[in-house]
Amino acid sequence: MLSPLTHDDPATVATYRLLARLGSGGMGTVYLARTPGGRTVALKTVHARLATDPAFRSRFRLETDAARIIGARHGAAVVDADPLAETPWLATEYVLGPPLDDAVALGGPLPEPTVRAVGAALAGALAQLHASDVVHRDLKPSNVLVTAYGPKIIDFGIARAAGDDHLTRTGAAAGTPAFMSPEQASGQEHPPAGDVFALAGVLVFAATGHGPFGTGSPADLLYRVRYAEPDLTGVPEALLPLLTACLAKDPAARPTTGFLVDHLHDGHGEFADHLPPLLLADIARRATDVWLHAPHRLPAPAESAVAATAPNTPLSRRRALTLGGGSLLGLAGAGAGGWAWLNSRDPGRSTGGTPAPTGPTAVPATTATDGAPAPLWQHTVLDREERTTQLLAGDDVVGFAETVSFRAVDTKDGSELWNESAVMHPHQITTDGTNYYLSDGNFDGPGVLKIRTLAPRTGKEAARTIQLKGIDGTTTQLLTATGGLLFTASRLGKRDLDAENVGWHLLTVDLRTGKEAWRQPYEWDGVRPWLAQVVGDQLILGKNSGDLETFLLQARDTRTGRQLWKRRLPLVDSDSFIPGHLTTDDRHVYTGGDRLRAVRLSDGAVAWEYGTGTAPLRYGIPVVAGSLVYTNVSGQGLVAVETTFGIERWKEEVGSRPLAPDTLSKPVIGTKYAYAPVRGGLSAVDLSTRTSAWVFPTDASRYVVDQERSRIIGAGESSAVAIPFE
Amino acid sequence: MERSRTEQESTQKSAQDSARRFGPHRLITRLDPPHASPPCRRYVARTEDGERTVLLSTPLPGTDPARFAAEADAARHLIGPWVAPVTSVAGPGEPPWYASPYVPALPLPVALAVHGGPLPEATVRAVGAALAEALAAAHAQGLTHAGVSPASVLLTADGPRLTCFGAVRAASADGEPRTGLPGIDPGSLAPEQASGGRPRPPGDVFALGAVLAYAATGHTVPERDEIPPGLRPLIASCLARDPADRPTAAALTFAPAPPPTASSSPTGHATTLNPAGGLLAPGWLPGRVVAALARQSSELLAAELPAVAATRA
Repeated sequence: MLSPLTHDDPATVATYRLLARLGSGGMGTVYLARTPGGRTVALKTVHARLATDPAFRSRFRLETDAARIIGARHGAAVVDADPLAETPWLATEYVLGPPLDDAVALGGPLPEPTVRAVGAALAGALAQLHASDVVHRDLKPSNVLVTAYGPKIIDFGIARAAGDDHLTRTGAAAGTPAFMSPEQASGQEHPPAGDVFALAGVLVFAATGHGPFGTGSPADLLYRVRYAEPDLTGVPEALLPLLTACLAKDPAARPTTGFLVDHLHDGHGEFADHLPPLLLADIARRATDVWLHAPHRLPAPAESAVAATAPNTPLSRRRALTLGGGSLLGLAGAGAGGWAWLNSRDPGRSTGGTPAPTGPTAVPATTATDGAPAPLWQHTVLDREERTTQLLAGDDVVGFAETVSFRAVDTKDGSELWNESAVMHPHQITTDGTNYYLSDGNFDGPGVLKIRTLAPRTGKEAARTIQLKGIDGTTTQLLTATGGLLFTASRLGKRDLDAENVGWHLLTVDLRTGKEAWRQPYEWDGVRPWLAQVVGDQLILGKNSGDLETFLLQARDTRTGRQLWKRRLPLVDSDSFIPGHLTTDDRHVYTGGDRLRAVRLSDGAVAWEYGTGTAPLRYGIPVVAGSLVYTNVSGQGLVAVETTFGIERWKEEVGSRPLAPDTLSKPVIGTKYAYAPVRGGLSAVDLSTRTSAWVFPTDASRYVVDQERSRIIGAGESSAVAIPFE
Repeated sequence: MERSRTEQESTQKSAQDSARRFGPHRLITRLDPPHASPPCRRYVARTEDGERTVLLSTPLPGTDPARFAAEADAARHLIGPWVAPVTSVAGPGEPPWYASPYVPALPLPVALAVHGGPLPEATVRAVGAALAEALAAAHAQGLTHAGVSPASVLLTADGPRLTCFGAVRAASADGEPRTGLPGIDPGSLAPEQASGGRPRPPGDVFALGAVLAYAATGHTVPERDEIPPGLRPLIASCLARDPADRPTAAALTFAPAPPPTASSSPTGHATTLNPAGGLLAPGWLPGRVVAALARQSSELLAAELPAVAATRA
């Protein structure tokens, strides 16, 4: 699939301009690339360290020659290649179809007619190869791309197989030997009949989802390939005799490719007629997505920027804590309540500067029930209005926009770092992960929007205050900040209670120059806030409509503000959404409500919906992790749906304990648990058993993850808490 | 004088070259097969730098260029997934054209041809739901398409696209009979519009009925029993002779859909791909239509503009 370029990918290779990454592995990286005449290709490049080896270069050239021999019908058409370049490269057509292993992962084992059609076409391809005195040597599901016109074979094993025989003998071969022939597994020559053996393994995988020799360590697999009977469980009965014959240990006993072409498929219909709907949909999507892809490049990691504003040495950290402690003591009388440390694992906490707990510790004695972990830290009384916005900056500071102030807390121990009473409302503050940005204006006199930049650990001004005239900064909502741009919803003019509904604009500030980048008017309908998220060059905005009946989504160009699309969705109760509740990945924005929906970033179309919409179920605020989107379903529990087509992957097994899923809080996904907010706490759903392992009792309803410290920080009406993130 | 100077300049380029350029774009191929009669000419074109590939529309010969440009400009304000978004238009003084970002697309008649006959009912419903949504949005903005016909509808991987907005209005002034004009499909023309009446939303609904009849049977004026029974009432209501008897686009409902084949799960959840009731679930397009879209995509990915230097000579 198409992923963004990384900051150290080159802009061009030879005359090709790079557009996206298609994949990378041991040999090198494959890019989507374009010629000056606009031809789009898959460009395979070789790692520099391999390119210095002359033997590797000659094998790369052989690989290129083999790709030319197999040709465009059964392989990826070769456009051009330069095995002698400093970075050797091979340009082929960009094939529109998934690898066979992805196809099976997407929709499960393929139906028999599909397996037969794929098998007959692969046998035909091998026949043609063998007629040219070429054997493939590395036929396996990931090397077979399924297009609408038939499978294409890619990646010959030449570059690896030649000279690597000693590796296979010792069982240390790169990749899996699950589809090797017994001849190959015993280090002998791989004859054309070896490809037939591998083909049968590929078809067993396609029909059942597992190879004929299972999985395991390379040594085990090599042994089983040579001596064990294949496991054909689940193979359609009519295919058994043919596949069994192909998997004979004796190469001479296996059928020829010609025999397979004749006996796998009767040749009726077109290839596409035999493909299941999901596979067709995936092919169609690939054929379309390649045109919609807007090239962008991931920025370099922002470590340097963080370091500049958040000193990370132990010494300065302690100093920051001292400052934080001082300000806590100075301002704690404002009814903010007490802080307590529980079970803190940081031995440094007792050294000077950490403030003593004030007020009641108020941690229930029985926080840890039925296996729930003890909190790492906890404090009471945070925000009675439940308007908390959580903002994580510099990876070790979390900010809480409280009712009439903003409090920055160290994620390590929950100690307060600083407190800013100029923040009257959560919409006045946002972060780009590096700094906090705070808006303000004049309550009397001419309108002005002031933007202050605050360093996360100190709360001190990290840059000059930006001032933009002619804007009522007192009503400005900061939407989000990224890449040196701060996005706001702002009203032109001066503060005027009679004109609160006019002059609203989306207005963007260039944080580097301190100047306005663009403004675009929008019609005020009485509802804030805008939820905002930047994906690539798109600013995605969402909010309730004025009549509170639909949820409005729109995309704008981050550079000009031009509207790219807009979409109305049925959605209820989203008025309690808070910033951070807009869920996106690089293809979709996801929303809950009466159904779980994926709206395509490219054009605003609804890519899929999950849920019938008829049952009285509510789908909660979703969260994306990897290729799955998770959401709470009212009265049921957590559900995981894959992101491309919205296919359900798993549902929480409801245990003996009745839990009431909270659909207005965003779940948190770890590697061991998926943390689902439920009434009265946070339920840890074990990702292997899919049942709730424990519930951490808390009134927190909003969560952020500090990845670096492996902890979840939660905030609720009366407490803030940190628990381990696994 | 002005005109002859332009002619002189254009003769300096090769005639073929100038015929294949529109604004910054150079034509790669026509979207429609020979002898097709869409309401506007559609090409796939690419910017000179090779960066952007577009679907480019130009008026049919004999159309008022100024009117075409005005209609194209109005269509720019349409937003929604089922309308090909107009992203660039001809500059002043240029022959008229407008362009949308390219995605693989087949004109509806081509889709029937590659499929080998009328499309499955599920496909027809999906097309109907999306086009009704597109027309409802346009009508709500005060725009009438006026030229909805099988050829004006493109099928893409994720739904149909309505193209050639306003092109037919540009073909003749209101008040003149419209039958027999180029690009006008007589079978898709509402009676009140054929006789020269000003195009209005009910005319679009009539044309939508004709398009769906075509998708389901292969012709716009089918015998009643040719239409699958599940679609008959809907199509018949759109094709009512009296505009007042037709439903509005917004009131058309294409549910209930046949149950999705691939994505239902035993838990009672089902994944659907479209607000209009799951009509664009995987499998909504027949295999051969998907294959034709993929082939078009592959061919255009592989298409290369001739070297720039050669054409500048």
